[in-house]
Amino acid sequence: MLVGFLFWKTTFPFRWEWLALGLAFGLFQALSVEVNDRLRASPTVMITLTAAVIFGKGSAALGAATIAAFGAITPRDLRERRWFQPIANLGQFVLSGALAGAVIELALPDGPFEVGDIGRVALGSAVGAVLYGAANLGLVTLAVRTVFRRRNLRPWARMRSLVPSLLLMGLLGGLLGAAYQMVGPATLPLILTVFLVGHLGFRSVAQLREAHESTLQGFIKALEAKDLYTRGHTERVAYFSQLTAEEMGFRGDALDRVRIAALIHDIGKLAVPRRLIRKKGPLSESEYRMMQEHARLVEEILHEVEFLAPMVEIASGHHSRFDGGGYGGSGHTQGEPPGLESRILAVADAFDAMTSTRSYRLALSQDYAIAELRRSAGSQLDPDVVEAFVRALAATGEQYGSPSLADEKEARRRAEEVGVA
Amino acid sequence: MPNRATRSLHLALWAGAVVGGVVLSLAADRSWGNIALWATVLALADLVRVPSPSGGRISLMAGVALVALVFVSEITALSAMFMLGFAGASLLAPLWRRVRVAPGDYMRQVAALATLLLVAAGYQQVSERLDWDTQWQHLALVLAAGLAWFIADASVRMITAMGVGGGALRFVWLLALEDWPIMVSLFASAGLFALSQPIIGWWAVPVGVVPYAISHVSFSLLAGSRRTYAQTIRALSRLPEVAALSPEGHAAATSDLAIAMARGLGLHPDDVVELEYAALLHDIGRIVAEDLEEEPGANDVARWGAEIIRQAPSLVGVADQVEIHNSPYRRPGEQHDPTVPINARILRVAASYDRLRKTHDMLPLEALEVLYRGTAYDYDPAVVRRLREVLSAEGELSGL
Repeated sequence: MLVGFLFWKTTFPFRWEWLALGLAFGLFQALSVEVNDRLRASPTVMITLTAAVIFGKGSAALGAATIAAFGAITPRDLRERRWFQPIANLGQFVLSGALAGAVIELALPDGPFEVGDIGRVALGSAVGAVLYGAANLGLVTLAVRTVFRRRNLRPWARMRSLVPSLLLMGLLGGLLGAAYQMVGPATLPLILTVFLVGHLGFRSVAQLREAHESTLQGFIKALEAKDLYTRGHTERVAYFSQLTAEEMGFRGDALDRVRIAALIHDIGKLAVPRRLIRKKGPLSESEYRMMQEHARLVEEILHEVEFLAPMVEIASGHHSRFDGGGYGGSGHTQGEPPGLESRILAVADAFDAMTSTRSYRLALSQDYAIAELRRSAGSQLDPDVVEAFVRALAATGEQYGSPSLADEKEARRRAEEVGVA
Repeated sequence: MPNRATRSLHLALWAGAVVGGVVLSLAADRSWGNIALWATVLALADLVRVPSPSGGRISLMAGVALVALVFVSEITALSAMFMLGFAGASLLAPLWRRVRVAPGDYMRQVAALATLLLVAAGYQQVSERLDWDTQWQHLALVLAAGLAWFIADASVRMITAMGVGGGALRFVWLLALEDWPIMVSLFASAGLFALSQPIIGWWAVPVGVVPYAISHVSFSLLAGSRRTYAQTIRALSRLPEVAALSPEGHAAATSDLAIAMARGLGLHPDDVVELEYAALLHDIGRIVAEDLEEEPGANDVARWGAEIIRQAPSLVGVADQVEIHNSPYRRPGEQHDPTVPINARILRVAASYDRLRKTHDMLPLEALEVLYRGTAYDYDPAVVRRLREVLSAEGELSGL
């Protein structure tokens, strides 16, 4: 009904610009990578707004809504024979496009463009972009909620971080549309080129970042796979750290930092002779010192990677105690608690150590592990982090560790019985 | 001192530009102030540089020069502006600490400006006969100038690389082509500004500058991500060395040698990067050897390493090279084994050479002799010959 109302008395802008912009929209949609929504949203919203301004009064809304049809179906959908996604995309693009176009419609001048109109159009376009983003996000959330029945989404928290980039994209989209209106069609190839190159750049950045993380993750997974007792440890610690950090209000880059720090936290162990890591009995004095080295080895191995410097600092502090004891990297001073991120990592590491089978004992139960974390809160671990972790873990409803083993001694005895090592 | 000739050449160019610029601005129909203004803007634009995919940096100077091309039709005035702008940039850039000036930058600037002048002169001849709308004529000028500049820049880089041994011509040319996104975005933004400024006035500043700024940010981020990725691979490659399973510095030395050989053989820049990673990671398999007392077999190390590397989806090609790099380059009765690509052959030669030097304490010529004796099956003779050239260019073989 809304759409019908908007298109009342509008004319369809079937000109070559419509085709060119539509194809560009489709191209960007096909080229976009699902790494980061902030990057994904930008090029298509800009094209939509530029298109709305170019089509001009009377056909802005209809034009903006219809070029979105070009982007509804991507080659990937065709390959994987996904039919729901294109339909949902179509509805989402058309509705958001119509909304943005309607705002532009209000800002556009009645007659030919004058220099004085440019500011108003750009402003209207910025508002339109924010509405487009809001509508888009709202519709996606609605679709995901109804189809996948997931309720723990917080779309509006994401919206706040999107607004600045949407405003910029909207302003630029409106300006470029106005330039087209006043200068002429020769600007269109230039406008599309500018969009394309910027988008390709951001796309490569997103791909490289993804490659970087998957390389770290893959290597560590492969290296620890050789060792029966640490298999999957890094991945689980990264997951627990992320859960806890999210619960404690970490978002965006700060959250990524915690996750990557967890990924690299044990990299030093890969360089410690493996017979130590696998050793059954207690470690001798010198062996214990070698083992302690691994927190420092993280620094030695990764110190040249500038990007990882903050993560390395977090990771090298994961064996430092909340009360200031323990061992750690160069950032560790006796008597001072490590940074909050390191304390998160320490909790995740301790929990996984207890709930997974080691060379000297079987996995303990989750209840026992949580009770043990609470016992260590205040001395070895940060009480706030422990409580945040317990809350976050309860919210997922997942269970780790063996269901019934609730005694450290019993676990060690049973391990010797079956001879796990 | 290879810089001495470059420096005197640069000084001559600079003096010529100052004298020529002053003389031409006296002869031109434009006011002194106008020419000086354009020259200043050109010189300032040279201070803004974006890291390019090929490793160098590209300044905004050519973009501003393109705007001048559209606005100033008189060739004399245009030449004066470009000459004075070049002279000013040569003075300003070294003063500004954040700008790193590479030795070939001056030649590239001169070539860019000269090419744009040529395009402007050609455009004047044609534009009188063309009966197009102004906007389309200007668009054509922008496209022609962009293309000409791109080709001129790549050519200059090839010529300067010949002198300093930066690699085979094919490699340098392909490397220069990787910069197209920056050049294209620079020219599209400059074109947008030049086309719209006369009509929409100073609104043209955001129209031209904001899109370029967005691309600039994306290219800077891209350069940063590439650096991070390379640094991470380099850091991971040190794992066997930190665990004392491999001689200290073996991965880095192997990769440096392999890169030098691959460039000289004219490989594609993307393949050179892949080879760099393969060379860095060729010993990573040692970290998972079960028995730490005994030296593991070379083929086992390669296979284990490939298994590890293959866990990263973006490094599958690297894993393949590591896996195959210990295979003989040919089998009895065959000329070449087509399943062993050139990258893997380079990797084998580089890794063996550095291992002979480091674990067997051999002198360069001794290690080279071992490789020459293995050219029947193990080491590709063409690659070993290239290694000899690389070593003698680095002065490793001198004095013997």
